[in-house]
Amino acid sequence: MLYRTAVPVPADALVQRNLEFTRTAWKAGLRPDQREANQLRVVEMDFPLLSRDVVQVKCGNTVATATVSCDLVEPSPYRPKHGFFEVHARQLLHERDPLDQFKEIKRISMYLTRLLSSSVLETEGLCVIPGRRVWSIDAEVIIVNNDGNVQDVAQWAVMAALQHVRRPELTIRGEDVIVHPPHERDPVPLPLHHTPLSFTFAVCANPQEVQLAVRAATLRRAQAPRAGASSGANADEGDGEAKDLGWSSNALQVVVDPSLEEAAAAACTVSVAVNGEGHVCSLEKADGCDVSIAYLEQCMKAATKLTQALLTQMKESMEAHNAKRKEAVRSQFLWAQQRHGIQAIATPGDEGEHASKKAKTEE
Amino acid sequence: MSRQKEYVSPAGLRLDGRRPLEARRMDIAFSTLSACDGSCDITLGQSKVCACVFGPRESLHKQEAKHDKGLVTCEVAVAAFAGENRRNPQRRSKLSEDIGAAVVQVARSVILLSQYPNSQIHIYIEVLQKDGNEKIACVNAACLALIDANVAMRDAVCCIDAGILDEHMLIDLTNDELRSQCPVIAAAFTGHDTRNIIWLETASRLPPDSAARLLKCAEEGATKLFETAMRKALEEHAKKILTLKS
Repeated sequence: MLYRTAVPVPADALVQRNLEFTRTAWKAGLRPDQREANQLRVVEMDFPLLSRDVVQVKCGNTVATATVSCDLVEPSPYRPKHGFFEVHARQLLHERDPLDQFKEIKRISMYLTRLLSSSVLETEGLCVIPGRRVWSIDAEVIIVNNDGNVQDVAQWAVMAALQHVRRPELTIRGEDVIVHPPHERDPVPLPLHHTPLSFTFAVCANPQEVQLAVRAATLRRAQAPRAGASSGANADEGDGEAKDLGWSSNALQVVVDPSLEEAAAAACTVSVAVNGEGHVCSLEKADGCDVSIAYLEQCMKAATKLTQALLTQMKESMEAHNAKRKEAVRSQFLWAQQRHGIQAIATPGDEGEHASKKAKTEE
Repeated sequence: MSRQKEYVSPAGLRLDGRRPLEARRMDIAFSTLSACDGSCDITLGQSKVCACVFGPRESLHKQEAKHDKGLVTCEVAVAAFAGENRRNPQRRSKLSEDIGAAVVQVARSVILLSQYPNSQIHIYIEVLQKDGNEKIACVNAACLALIDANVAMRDAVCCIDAGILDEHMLIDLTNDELRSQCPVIAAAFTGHDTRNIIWLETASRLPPDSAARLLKCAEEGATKLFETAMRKALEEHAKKILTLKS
């Protein structure tokens, strides 16, 4: 007998099933990966190298790596007292990525530039000698894996790198600039005004569609008594349809940190950046359905709560990396404390002298 | 600079004589260009913007076309003589890309894309003069040009910006007022029901309640602007079309 080979399920159909499952879960008040509405995925911040300028942030399966470099350059002739600060985003692409992925990466670059360039790092503070020497800070984010919410993870990575990086100490005599290496003088942190953290929220359902569904359910419920008077079967059908159409009272409205499927299933997404003092630094809304001011207030409140926890975790990661660096520096000179050479030179014949040396060492 | 300059006088007048919650005059002209499907010229204060729409037409890039909905693209050109200093017209500035991204976002939110499968709607915008609100003018001009091109849309769009400057809420800020680097929110609302926010952008530090108040202030300004300028222009344009037909 001849058998046909099994035809694999098309990816589009599978994606559509996942989207429908996500929307059904939201109506029931749940999320597909069993998180709460305002719960992030597991966030890990790591400084993989001993140098201070590289950070890796993981949020679930989304991974972003940020690198910050500082250079002394000549300023622009139009703005002689301002340094340069640029943020770039890149992604490791493969052949299965959609064709407009580079537009998404460009949009993330523009978002990071708009958020960070104006208020976080003041370029006037990067001036060394007006018209001759200024600092150029270049932050670059590499998105290693994209499992949704790439914009937030990239922003967290840039903020962690900017807080942790150190530039060399300078001594200025007239027009001479002496750049001190790290072993001469301790490097200096960057002058950051505040630390905004960005959170993206997915609006689960179109508010207008929800209102239409509620109105339809109300109309059906109003028509139900008359139908019930005629026959019980119609009343049962009416109740069933009302239950199907009606939104449950605990349906989710706004969820934080959407994954890839949740972002695709959402009616629209809203990005809120909040700093440590609770101020809103950025508000952006992507294309999709309309939202009202109440939704935005809900997002701002949730983002304010999440910011404190994430800032604390960032600080702990930086302190752990500092401890690791100190341990590594100390272990470089561990050989000098063992005194193997001195003991080896001593002749075995002089027992008394050897014993006296041992006693001194113990003392 | 904001400490030396008095942006709002104690009598409640701004530098150009406006009240804090007063928008500048908006002049709208439809069908000014003949080689496109829809066009609109907007003069919003000192900003002049020309927008034209080509489409719905066959998509030029076959790979980017989608089988179930339309594709919206936008191209923005800022004239060399638009600002105070003449700039190099060859360079693609960040402003062009920023305005293009905002216009595409608003258009995708408002156009019924499922009505135009395998199609492309191309919006071309030229900024002829800038005075601080060129992005707002571009979004308004693009959406009015889409209406002139008879593209199916859910609602008209009214875009406006609001800022807090010296304890005053200002609407429709000029270049001088923007130079003080006060907190500004730019928002686009649906025209007939301005409680719906289509597009939103801000990049300045604000307490959350101030952000909400600014949004409400922008919403009220958008309501007034739509009633005074856009609705009249659209109605006159419709009358003109009906007169030609009858």
